Amino acid sequence: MSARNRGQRRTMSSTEVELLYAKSKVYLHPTTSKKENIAGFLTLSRGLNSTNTDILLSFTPENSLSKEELRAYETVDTEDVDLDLETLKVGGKNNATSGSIGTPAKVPESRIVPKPSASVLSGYSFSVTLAFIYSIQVRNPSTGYWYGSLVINTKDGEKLPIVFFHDDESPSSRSNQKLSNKRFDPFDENGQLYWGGKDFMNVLGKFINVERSTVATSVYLINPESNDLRNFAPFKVKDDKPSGDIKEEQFKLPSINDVNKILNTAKWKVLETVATFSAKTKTQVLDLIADNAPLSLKQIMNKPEVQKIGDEFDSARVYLAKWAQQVKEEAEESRRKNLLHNDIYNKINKELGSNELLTDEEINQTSRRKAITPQEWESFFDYSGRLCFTVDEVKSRIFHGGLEDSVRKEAWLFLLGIYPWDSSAEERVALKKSYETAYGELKLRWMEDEEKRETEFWKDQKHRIEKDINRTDRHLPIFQNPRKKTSSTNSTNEDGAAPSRESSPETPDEEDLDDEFNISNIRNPHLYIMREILLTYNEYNVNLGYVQGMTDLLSPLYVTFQDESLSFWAFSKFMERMERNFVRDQSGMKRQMSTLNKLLQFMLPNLYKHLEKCDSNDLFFFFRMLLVMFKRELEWDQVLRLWEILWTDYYSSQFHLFFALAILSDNERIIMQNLRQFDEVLKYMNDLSMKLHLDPLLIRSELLFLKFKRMIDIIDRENSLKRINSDVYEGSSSDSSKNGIIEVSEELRELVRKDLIVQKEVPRPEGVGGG
Amino acid sequence: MSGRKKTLLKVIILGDSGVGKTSLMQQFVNNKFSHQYKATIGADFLTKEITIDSNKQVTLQIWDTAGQERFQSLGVAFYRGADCCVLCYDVTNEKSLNNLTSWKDEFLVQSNVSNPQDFPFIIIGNKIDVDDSKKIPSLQKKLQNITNNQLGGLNYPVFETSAKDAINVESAFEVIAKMALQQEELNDANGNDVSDDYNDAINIHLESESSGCAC
Repeated sequence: MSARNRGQRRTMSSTEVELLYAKSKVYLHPTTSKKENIAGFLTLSRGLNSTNTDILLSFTPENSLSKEELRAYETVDTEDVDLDLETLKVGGKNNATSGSIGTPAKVPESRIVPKPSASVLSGYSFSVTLAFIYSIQVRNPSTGYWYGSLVINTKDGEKLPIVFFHDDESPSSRSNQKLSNKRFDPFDENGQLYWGGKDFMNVLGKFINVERSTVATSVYLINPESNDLRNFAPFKVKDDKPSGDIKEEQFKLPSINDVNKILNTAKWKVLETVATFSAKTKTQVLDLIADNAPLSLKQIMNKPEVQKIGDEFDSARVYLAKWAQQVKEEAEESRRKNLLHNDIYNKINKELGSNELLTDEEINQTSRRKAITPQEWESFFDYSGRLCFTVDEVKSRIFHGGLEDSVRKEAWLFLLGIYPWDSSAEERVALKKSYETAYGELKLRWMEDEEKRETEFWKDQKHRIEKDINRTDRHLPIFQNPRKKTSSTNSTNEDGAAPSRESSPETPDEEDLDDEFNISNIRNPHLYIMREILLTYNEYNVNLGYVQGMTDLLSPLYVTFQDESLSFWAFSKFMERMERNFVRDQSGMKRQMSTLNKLLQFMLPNLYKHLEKCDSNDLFFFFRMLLVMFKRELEWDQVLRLWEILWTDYYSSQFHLFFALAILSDNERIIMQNLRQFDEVLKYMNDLSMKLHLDPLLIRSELLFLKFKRMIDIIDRENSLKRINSDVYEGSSSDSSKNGIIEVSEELRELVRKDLIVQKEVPRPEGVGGG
Repeated sequence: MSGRKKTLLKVIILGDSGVGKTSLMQQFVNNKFSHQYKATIGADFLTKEITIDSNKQVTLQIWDTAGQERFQSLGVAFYRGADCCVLCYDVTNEKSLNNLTSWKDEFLVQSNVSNPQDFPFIIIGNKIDVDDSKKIPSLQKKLQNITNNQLGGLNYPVFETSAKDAINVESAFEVIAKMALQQEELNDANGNDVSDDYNDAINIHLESESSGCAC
């Protein structure tokens, strides 16, 4: 027990808290005007029976406190100056992170105050539990900012108002500064001056586990989960293994070693050192690749690694581009192998110049996390099977990590809107039943309507579906035909169909597919069910009907659910967001290409100009990517991962366009240095298929999105300032160009929408087929 | 332009979905066949160098396209500068035969060629390896009817092929190459050298050291 007398003790009520710590003269700066600064207290407090993670971190404006409350706050502020904090730390150091029940029955009366308001009604107060804080960025006082400040990020990705420490006004900070000066030790062990924010962080560290980020050293993770630490790339303990040697053998380009050297030395400096250095790193990586390009073409073409790329003849520049891409790929692959995730991560950051516009914290958020395991997914729900997190929290988690395969069966139903997020397990059982019934009825509609099945339209559509089903994802074991005897070429198969033809010796595996031309004879039961689903959908969404590409969208759903009615409904839901891709006049695709075009001009203007010169600014190479949501560009597992991430609509329902942009951005230098023609660009982009790496692209997409959003914010802020100025000085002129207002097109603004953009097909005109 | 110049001939393959456009291209360029070619989305091309008339070296750039009509409207950029158009049907699918005319018309509208009257088209009926019982009844008569009446009675070469068993594919493309070369020379003579850019694309300067983009 402390020797200090803290007066009377009593038991708190549930509306009261014990103030553990208070820092006075902490300000919010809601505008740039000093007059509008809000002075208040930054406090740590705890209520009855709370654990350390329940401790509240609050900001309370001075003017919201009564006289008595103000006195209590001020007392705690100054009392803390020489208070032995150890005595406050009930439960001892070991419990600092485990959060045992720590509040003693009776607490000093002088420290008891009403629970800080978290209400937004008063506008400027906030209060969150430590468990809800994700990280805190500490911004030391500097000549630029003068006041030090803390940027607090909560787990749902919100940023609380930034708190500024006006130490010159705060009695506790002033006396603490004096104290350390008296000791002739104004600097702490890190050589930093005492200031209020640091004081606060020190105290915070006594209650809860605070981990300093190894990359962005100004950022502290609050009580990070072990998962976070393990998987959160930037915070990973550094891996000092040299990375250049292994790959050099396979790949005889000495310069790549240099690239790694640069990256190795840059690795831990990049985020903290001057921008010019990092800018240099960025260009060096690609320049080294480019420097290797001006070998004579003949030499390059003879290289085995070039010949490996493809057997078909390409134009020289496509070769070069592919070669550069392979160099880049191998360098990155080797870094991936050596767990130097940070290199890639930093490289993307630097390339995009994210640091110029985004805070370290925002950048760190974009790291990829581990996929959600069944156990973790279970833990999201309470005993009745109801979600006990907010939808946004769950979506954030899925967005940043994805789902393990066994979780998809259930989680996708939520993501696609089959199950409401707030449903209970019982409700979902009932819902599933009614979905089954409804599907059964829909299916009967065409099965029992013989007349319909005789129409030209129906037959055409059925033919289309069967043809496409027969050639969708047949490499997957689930879609392979049951094997049959092949010894005799004269034998008829069990359906009594025509004798199967002799299969050529080169394609021994394809004999099963030999009756492919009899496409109505689908022997694989799964393909058969997919056919039923699509025939039903063709009737269900009668205006749209079946269109080529839909089998690509259905197959991952079917493989995941392996349930006819659930797959059907999941597909219909997926199609709600995809319908605009398939409408007859292609306006939905045109619209997205046009948006992408504007986005590209806005974000990567140099690349855009280059593509314009290549006659490729129609971005036709994105057509396949967008039409079937990158299904043809990524390996199977990565398609599933990407889709569940896109379905969260976490940042925007249009995030797929940022993913497309990321692919282009990732290849910007290679395209600009090597490609000059429409056909070259198309070939290069088409051939990226199955060579894309999802995680780095996702990081890049997220950073591009955040950067985009920030740019729009800045423009809007500038515009409103200009409008105000012009209102004041020039009267109300509506001519925006005169005032220097930068217009942001509606198409670009749509990119931050979280709700789906739905475009339905119009009724099919008389006499028009399903083509 | 310097150095040896090779001729690039641009060929577009059109036809209903599933008639075997991708298979024909793959068989000709890579001598392989698979039942598992996915439905083509968007467009892609392969190139192959061949010698015609035993002395003329040309490069064929063969464009494979999506068969569903609605996808044509977006991807017309690659029609530009075409030297020959291959109209494909499936000998077991009468509808695909009947649609040849609309594919031709669509191409002429979109490509904006200077000589629609004598632009080289060629017709390929694919899948002749399939059992006779499944083929279109009285196919020859129907085909003649279409070429005479709907396709303007022009003498478009007709080939029956099997991409699967590599029947007639080589010879069809040989004719395609010759026709395309004629068209190309015609364009050159008319000073209407739309494909000059494309020649440049594959014009390999062995001496040249420059690879960076000038822009």
